[in-house]
Formats: sequence, C-alpha cells, structure tokens
Amino acid sequence: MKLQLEIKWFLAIFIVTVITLLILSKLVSIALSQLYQIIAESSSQNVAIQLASLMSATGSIMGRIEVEYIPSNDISYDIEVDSMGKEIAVKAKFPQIYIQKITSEAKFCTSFDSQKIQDVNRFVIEKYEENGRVYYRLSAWRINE
Amino acid sequence: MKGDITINVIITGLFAIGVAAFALYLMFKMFLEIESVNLQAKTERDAILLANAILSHKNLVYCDSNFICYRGMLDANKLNNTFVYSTSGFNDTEEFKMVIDPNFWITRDKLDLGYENTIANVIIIDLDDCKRDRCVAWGGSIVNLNAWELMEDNPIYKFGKCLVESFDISLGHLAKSVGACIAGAGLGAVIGSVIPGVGSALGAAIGCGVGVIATLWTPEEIVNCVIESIPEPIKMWITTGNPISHKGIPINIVYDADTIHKGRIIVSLLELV
Repeated sequence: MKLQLEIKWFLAIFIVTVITLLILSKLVSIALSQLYQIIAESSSQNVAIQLASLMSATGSIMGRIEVEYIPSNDISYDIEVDSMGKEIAVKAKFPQIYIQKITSEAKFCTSFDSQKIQDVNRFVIEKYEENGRVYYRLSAWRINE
Repeated sequence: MKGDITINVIITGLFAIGVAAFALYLMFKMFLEIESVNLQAKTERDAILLANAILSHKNLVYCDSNFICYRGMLDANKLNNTFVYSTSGFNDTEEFKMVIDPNFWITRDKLDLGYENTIANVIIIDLDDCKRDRCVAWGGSIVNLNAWELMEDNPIYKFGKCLVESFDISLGHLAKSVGACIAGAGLGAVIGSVIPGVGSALGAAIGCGVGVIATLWTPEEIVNCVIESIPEPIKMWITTGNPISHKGIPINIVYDADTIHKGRIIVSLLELV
C-alpha cells in the first residue's frame, strides 16, 4: 500500500516535471540561441568572413575608399594576413574561459600586404591610388567604450 | 523499503540522462546548422565579390579623355590585352583550351585579383554581337596557387589535424579512458585466454588499447572532422549539385566612345581547398 502510494507520487512528479521541462525547453532554446548569437557575431569565423568580404568588396569600388569595421567593443582579436597577401587569419580572444579560442581563416580576392597585428577590435580597410597604381591597406587598433 | 529507493534512483537517473541528452542535442543542432549555412554561402559569396572586383579593375574598365573611369564599362581594347579573344563564343574546342591552358593563365601583373588555390574562369560575352554563327567573347583563367596550403589542406592531413586539435585532455576524459582500458583489458583477457597461443596478458593489452582508442573522440567530433576535411568542390557539389559556382553579372563593353554594347561577365569559381 505504501509502495503504491509512493509510485503514484513519483508519477505525479514525473508528469509535472515533463510539462515543466517542455515549457523550459522553449526558454532554454531561446536563451541558448541568444547566447549563440552574441558569440557568433564576435566569433573568429564570423569576423574572418566579414573582414575578408570587406577586403574583397573594396576592390569593387572605383577610386579611393575607406571602410571601418568594429566587430565588438569588448573582445580583442589577433589577425594575420598571409605571405601571399590573399588570406586572413583571425583569433577572437573572448574573456570568458569556457569559450575556446579558435583561429579562423578566410580568403579575399584583392592583394594586401602581409602583416600581423595583436589585440585589436577596430579595423579600417582602404583602397587608394598612388602614382597611377592601386593599393590596399588594412589598419587596426584597440578601442574601449 | 529497498524497492522505494530503487525506483527513486532509476527515475532520478533517467531524468538526469534525459535532460543532459536534450541539452546536448539542442546545442549540437544549433551549432551544426549555423556551421553548414556558412559553408554553403562561401563559394557563392566569393564568386560574386570577384565578379564585382573585376568590373571595377583599372586594367579593364573604360576611362575617358579626362581619366575618369567607369565601373561596369569594360574597354574592349583592354580586354584584348588581358583575355583570350573568341568570335565563336568559345564553342570552338581549340579556343576554349586556350582559356584553361596554364600558358594563357592571367598573370598577377595583368590582373591582381583572385583567390588563393582557386581556379577562376572568367568569360565575357558581347550580347549585342552574339548570334548563331558569330559570338564575340573574351575568356581567361585566374589562378593563384600556394603549394604549401594545397599540401596542408589535403583531406587526409586536415582530418588528422582536426582529430589532434579536438583531442580532449581533461581529467574527466582521462578517467573515461582509464575505465575503458580496464573494461577492455578484462574482456581481452577473457577472450585471450580462450584463444590458443594468445594468452590473457596479450589479450588484456590489446583490449586495453582498443578501449582507449574507442574513447579518444566522440562520434560528434569525428563527424565534425569529416565535414571540415571535405574539399571545397565536393562541398559545393553536395550543397548545390554543381562543383563550380557560376555568377553572371550584366556589363557594358565599350569599343569606342560611340559604340557601347551590352554584355555579361560570368565568373566560375573552383576552390581547390
């Protein structure tokens, strides 16, 4: 009799828990997607793709152009343009220790000088002409807000 | 009394497993979905950006007597200097061979555009001078090869590198490996003692080794490494049914100040790695 009563209680708790979990799963899903959105926007992969796209896109402008890109005020990045000047590697340095610091690469179709810059979060991509020749330049700084 | 505790433990355990599995499922689902979206868009985006950059390149666009250059208006004379010219729209095999022939690849001094380890075939068609028996077109291949990257990014090397990078050296993983080694060794010892000539010691050693290897990576890590090591053309072929991304953009072809034809530039990208 006592055993039966306890199983009834367990069943009741089980059903209530399942319903609560179903409701919570929606909230968890929203919370996770928001967290992911924040991480994804500032991630190495996203910043590498954005930078490479902007570096390629400057090629489609006639004459001089200057594009500014600030992916995040809080996170700093290490960047490296490869020796051929055709690929950029980005490493996001998230302050949270549970986020892995991964390096992501992305290619661009224009030609930039090979360079390595650390701890920056403001990027300026320029296309300019000098003595009839076209040049591309990537500059980066650290800004805090 | 003992029965109460058993049911309690089982149900609590099942709940814990269920919640953990559900949370893991949600996280993997979300991360994998976003990863695949990025992969699909990459080659398409690259082709569009390259086509747009070609449309604005100083070595190709028309510039007037005041040195003002016009985006999207390609100078026929400049095209002749950079690309292979065809009056058959490259339907002639010999002419098309010239487009892909390494001897006719467009060098960096002529056009400093293009992606590393990517073959970009560019075809420009004069739509106002393209009939059945005559079709004016220009074509060429932009290729920037980086031997080191080609070697480093070959699928087998990439797969191995990914496995090494995703290797877990946490205490929890170590405990799991030790447990698998002990379980494998026990099973191996039993099997080894039954098989003549093997013996329980060798069986235990083999069993331990198999147990450790089996716990080195999770199935998700292996799947992730397989996805990462698939070459770009195959990824494109899986996602779009074609290993090459074709992007056609309308242009104008300027023969002289009074003769301007409508045209189209088609950029086909084949990303090698």
